[in-house]
Amino acid sequence: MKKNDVFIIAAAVLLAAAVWLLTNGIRQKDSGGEVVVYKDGEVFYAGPIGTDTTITVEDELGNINVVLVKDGKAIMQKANCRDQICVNTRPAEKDGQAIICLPNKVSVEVRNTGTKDLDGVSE
Amino acid sequence: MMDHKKVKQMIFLAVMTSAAIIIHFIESLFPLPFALPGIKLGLSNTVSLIVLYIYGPVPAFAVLVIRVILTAFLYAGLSGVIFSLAGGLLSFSAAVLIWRLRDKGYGIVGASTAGGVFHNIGQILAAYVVLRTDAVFFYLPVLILSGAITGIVTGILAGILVPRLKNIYGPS
Repeated sequence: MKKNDVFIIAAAVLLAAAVWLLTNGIRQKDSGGEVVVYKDGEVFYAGPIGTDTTITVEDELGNINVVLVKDGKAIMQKANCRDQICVNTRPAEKDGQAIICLPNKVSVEVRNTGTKDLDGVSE
Repeated sequence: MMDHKKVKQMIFLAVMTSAAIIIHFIESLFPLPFALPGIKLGLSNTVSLIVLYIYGPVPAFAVLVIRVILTAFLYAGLSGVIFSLAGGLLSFSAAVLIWRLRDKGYGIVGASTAGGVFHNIGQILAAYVVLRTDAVFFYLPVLILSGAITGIVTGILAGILVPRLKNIYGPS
């Protein structure tokens, strides 16, 4: 290791800290927002997190994801993707938390309805 | 004859490419628990780094691109290619930048660290393009840190390997 390599490592740690502060600043800690389910980048479902419901996302390729909203939490109950990472993701309840199923291009997000200007979707 | 050197370089690059493919495959068997599916540590980029420090940026770039194309055909699939390409190209660019500063006190560990960090930034950007949701950026801090840690470890490894490989396979 040469001496200037330390600067690069320090820069990486600083960058991580800066991004962490930035993303945490946007994220609101309180709950009571809404659940938004995206499929292929488009809003598939949006509804309050307090209302218990089951959302089934299915496409013509046979990809299925079942999202369960219960007790103020959203979980990915079932998915036919190969890695099952989304099913094993912790429940999303706080604003900014998300469950993502990349193989099926489905994401579940919790966001605060009051902070739409900060947590808005691109485009 | 000049043919001897060319054959030596070709064999070295072929071996490095196959090593990158195998590392990439082994890596795909262990998905990161905290990350988005499809995101990898980028260990196979170490191979590009080793080639970069022995033969320079052009052969290293060739190894990277051939690795991405071959893994795409073998097992990764299209979404895997987007991730490999975004991570690989950004990581490679960062590593080349540090490699150019190798006479100014920046070593292979620095290049590897920068490469590791930008590998993961590239993958997050790819995930953003695929999913179109800001939520992917919440994974960024932990991925920058893990990229730096992976980069340091693989950089030390590459630092041990480069002089030895250079003796056997390097341009003489």
